[in-house]
Amino acid sequence: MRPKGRGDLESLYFTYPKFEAPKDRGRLSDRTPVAIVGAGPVGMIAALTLAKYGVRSVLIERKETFNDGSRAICIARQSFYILEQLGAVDAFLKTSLGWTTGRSFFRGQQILEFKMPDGPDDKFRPMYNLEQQYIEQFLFDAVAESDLIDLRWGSEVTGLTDVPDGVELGISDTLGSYELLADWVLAADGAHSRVRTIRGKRLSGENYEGRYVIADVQMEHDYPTIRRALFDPACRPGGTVLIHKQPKNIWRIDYQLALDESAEEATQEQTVRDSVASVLAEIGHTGNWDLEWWSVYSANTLALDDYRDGRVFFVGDSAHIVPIFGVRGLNNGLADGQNIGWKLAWVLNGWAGPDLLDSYSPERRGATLDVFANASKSTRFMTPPTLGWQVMRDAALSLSLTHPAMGQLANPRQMTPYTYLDSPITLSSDDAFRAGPELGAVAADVALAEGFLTDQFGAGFTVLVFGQADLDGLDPAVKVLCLPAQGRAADAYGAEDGTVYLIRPDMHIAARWKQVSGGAVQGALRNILNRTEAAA
Amino acid sequence: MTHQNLETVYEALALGIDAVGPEHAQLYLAKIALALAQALDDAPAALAVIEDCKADLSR
Repeated sequence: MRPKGRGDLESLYFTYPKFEAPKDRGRLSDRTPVAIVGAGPVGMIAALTLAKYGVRSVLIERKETFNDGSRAICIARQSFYILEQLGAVDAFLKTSLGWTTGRSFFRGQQILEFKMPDGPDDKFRPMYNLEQQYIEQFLFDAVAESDLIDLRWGSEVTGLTDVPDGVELGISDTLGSYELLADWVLAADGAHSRVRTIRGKRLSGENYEGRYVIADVQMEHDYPTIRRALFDPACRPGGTVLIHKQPKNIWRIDYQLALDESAEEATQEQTVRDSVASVLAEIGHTGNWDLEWWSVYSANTLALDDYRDGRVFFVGDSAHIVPIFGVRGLNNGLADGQNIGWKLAWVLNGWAGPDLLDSYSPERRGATLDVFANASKSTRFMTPPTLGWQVMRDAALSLSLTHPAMGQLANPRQMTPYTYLDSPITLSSDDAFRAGPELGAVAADVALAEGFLTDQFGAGFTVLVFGQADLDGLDPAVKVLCLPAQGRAADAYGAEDGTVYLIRPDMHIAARWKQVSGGAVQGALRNILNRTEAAA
Repeated sequence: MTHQNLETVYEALALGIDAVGPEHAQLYLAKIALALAQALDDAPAALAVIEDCKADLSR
């Protein structure tokens, strides 16, 4: 929502483009390998990942422009690796605000300062703040450069019909209606997914009582990019307030509503203005400010039981809705898009059998459940759901003023990428390692004399070889990276002479051997890609 | 106490309060305090905690 007198898309800092439904109607019904419903960040990441491996897609977007507000603003380190792999990271680095530190306050007194892990071997900061419109703009700029992505704005999916070897989509726009046949469909159409409704799938899980208004203001305000959490502040007794800095002098203020406050009343412009003014007074801001945009949010942990329904895959918010406190809604969505993107590309290019696709739902649903476990902890502290959690939260905060260790209970535990330990395509290998990224985890980065280790990873699978190792019969399409048996990289990977890591296109560790034997790497690759013959 | 252990206790207390319900919460917490004091086996320390916890109950 925006202040009276300004339209939904009249932002103080962002000029919304207006896109139109395709005018050239001749080839709209040409069969496509992949139809992606929803051109938000998740759908665009999936399309860009497919395009990276030469796979065409049609992106279908109901709206005619980008998201109406800043919404998801925190982009985690691993998402920056995804953006980098897609050649889109430069614009993000230029505009976003990196950060490492958070501070929590109780009744105006600081009770906790936490720093997320960040060191010389980290190529990217743990977190970056950027308004969602920019996220979409920058991804769109990359999409527009690709000949393989056909983005159709103002286009609504009206039906989905399974046909042999494909799905027929009914699509409607301002100029007419048509059918589109696709081998595969990705539903990236958000929390209120039309595709999910059409397929008769339901999210299940928990709704929390806690509701927040999220409001953006533009102001000159002198504070570093540090996330602030205010518990029981004078401006909202008993409630919680979160404050984030965003680019363009935009500040995000999230404040919790009391149980007896109605969302309707709380989102009235004057109520929002009064509430924001009281928060700004609390943090000592005395200058001018402009109200930009606001919305209301409630914490939920909801997911589909299976992210796959035949030839339809659910990615991002259509598959799962997570509380904002772990900043995993957007970041997990981007990882979903990358995960299904590379797997579909491998299958469509004939580099893998169709069974590879069966690993998508367990891997990404596992990531969602992990988020639920972590975010539920944060949510219980931010918006205690019952008397027990309320009493204990208040006790911890009260004690934290004199017992610093209690302040740690307010640590929001922003997450690290999920480890695919139980995935069907994570292979068990010898367990002789005492260090290094574990099976299924994201590969470790290491600062080299020039650049970082991950700069040298291949576009597809990468094999890290420490010292000398027998890679007999290895598919020549796999990038082999030879590293010294001693040194910083070997230390980071717990490696010795003869150690090998097999790394997937999404940087997760598929297998590792302290001492590899001949043919083992190619055998592992064959297991993952489910093919009986070595690739040519 | 490690943070992990502190968190385990914190969670057990929250779940315990919800399990006994609001009508018994006060009695339940008092029982816990007495039992922990006995386990602590240090009356001056227990009395100091009892005094300390009076602080910061309201703004």
